[in-house]
Amino acid sequence: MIAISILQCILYLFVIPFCMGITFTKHFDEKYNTVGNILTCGFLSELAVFQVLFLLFYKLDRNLAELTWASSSILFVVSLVSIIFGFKSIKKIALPKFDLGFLVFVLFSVYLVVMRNLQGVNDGDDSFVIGNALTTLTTNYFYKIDYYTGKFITSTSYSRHMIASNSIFIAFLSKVTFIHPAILAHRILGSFVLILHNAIIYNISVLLFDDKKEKYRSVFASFVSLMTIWDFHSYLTDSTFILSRAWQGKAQFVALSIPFAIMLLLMIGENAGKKNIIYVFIAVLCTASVSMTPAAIVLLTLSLAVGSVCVGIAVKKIGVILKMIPALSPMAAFAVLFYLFLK
Amino acid sequence: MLESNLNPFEIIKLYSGNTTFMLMFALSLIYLWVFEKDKVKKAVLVILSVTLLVLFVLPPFAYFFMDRMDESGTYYRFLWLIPTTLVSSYTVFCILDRFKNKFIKTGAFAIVTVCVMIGGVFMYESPTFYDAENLYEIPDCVIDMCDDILIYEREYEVVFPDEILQYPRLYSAYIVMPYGFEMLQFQYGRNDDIHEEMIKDTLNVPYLAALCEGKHVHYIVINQNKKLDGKFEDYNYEFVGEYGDYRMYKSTTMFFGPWEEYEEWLAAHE
Repeated sequence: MIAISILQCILYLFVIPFCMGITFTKHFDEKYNTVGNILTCGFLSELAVFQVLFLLFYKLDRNLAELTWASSSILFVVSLVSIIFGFKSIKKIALPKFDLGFLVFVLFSVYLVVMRNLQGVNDGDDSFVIGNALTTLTTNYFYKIDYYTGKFITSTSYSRHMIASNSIFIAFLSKVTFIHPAILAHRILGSFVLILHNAIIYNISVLLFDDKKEKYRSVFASFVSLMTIWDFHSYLTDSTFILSRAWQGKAQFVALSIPFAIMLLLMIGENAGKKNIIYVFIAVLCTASVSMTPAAIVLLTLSLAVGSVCVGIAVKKIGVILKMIPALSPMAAFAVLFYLFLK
Repeated sequence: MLESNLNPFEIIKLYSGNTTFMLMFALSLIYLWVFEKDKVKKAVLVILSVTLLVLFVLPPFAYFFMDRMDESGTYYRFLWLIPTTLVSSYTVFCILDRFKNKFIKTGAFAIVTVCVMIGGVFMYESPTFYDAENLYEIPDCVIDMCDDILIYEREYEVVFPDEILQYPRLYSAYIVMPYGFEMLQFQYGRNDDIHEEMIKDTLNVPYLAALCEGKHVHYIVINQNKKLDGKFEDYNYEFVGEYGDYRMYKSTTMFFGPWEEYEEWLAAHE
């Protein structure tokens, strides 16, 4: 059973994201077609697919078992198609320079993962995130039972959570991997998100430091990790959320979506908005971000909209701003849905 | 969640803590504004950050979010959008790159690193963290209690003290509670009579036992530090065991078996 669980974890957190991610990264510049970018793009795509299916299944009043079958089937098919069409680009995957600096960066990443697993976190939001995942997994139904008490839900105060499928995604992963949601979230998903976060930071360093300053990349990424570890100035900082509760939606939003959005803005600027695949991926990123937290509807839209104006002015291309409008269109749809859910 | 009456500047102050990193970020913004030649990096790291900061403190914008969208308690999340760590780190390396001498460069980097470690606050010393006791990252005592409660795969109604209220339903969805963590999180439902009794320093045992029996509570978990005004054993609850700082009592009148045996049990007790 443990072997099956491990294989399923590898399948859903590495193989499927890798296959899905390559669809996007093969269109990026060669130096950005990295394993970190592939996995991050793939995982975000997986979340986006799951988010759309969850909302559909929730509205159709279906259950977790049906959602699991549908999601797994669709993820398999999409992965298979992606890898068939992207197989050739595997050979072109850019590898980081394995020097002392990179080793230090890897050690920082390992340290974060080890600390994540040695330290428990006394955080009440788990009673929603993991409580809801476990309740959904046990009852097979979405938002019928109050995850705080186990009684039937009678209040509408929970509606605002429904649009974000984060806890249901944990239930889904738990169902396919046969791992208890608390173990899955705290141990596996938390560690996985931290690794992806560091991968994004490294890829940002590739964008910030060109080939002439290549020597700074790994040291920069390590320095960012160091600052993150020493950034407990208050319990509100982004670093606190990243390191203390990486499995929760809002922490994933901070750890993955926001730095990835920064990375995409830098990429848009670098190629002066010519690569349309980045805008396509922004639409995916938007959907994935809403699956993490409903607050993403406002926060990410604002960040990307303002960012595109800044980049558009910097490169003197109005197209950068205009192309961002359709890329952000999923957010408009989610805003309407959010309003309807609250109603 | 933050208090709802804070203004954006107070939120920034709270967010910044001892202000070391915020000061470093502010100086970095100024440095990059003046010296960064790459327009794209300047746009994404500096102009975007400054624009978002200005929007954050802009009264109409803050009013819209905090009052109209009722997000005053979580408005600080807006600050997550500003890439403070990235901007500060990038500036450090831009400055280091100006040094031609390798030794000076390495020495300067070491000084900055030490400054970050002295000026910063180490994350893992925060009271939020504790040594994980098991794979679930749920206190051992809660897991032991739940294992003893869940005799069969069915729901059992349990009353827990506030300190461990959030944990049982992370372990098993078969633990049902008359009130849950929402009581602490959202401050509503404060009128729950069992909870009102549970948070007192001295528990009125006859009253609490009667309330719990009335709500079909199978188990009551009490913090050992509470004083008991009576014995649960005199009011249809028996002592089960001690679990760390907690004592658990079990109803002597309720049905604990699997549901298929319920009719039989009911007939025998009527």
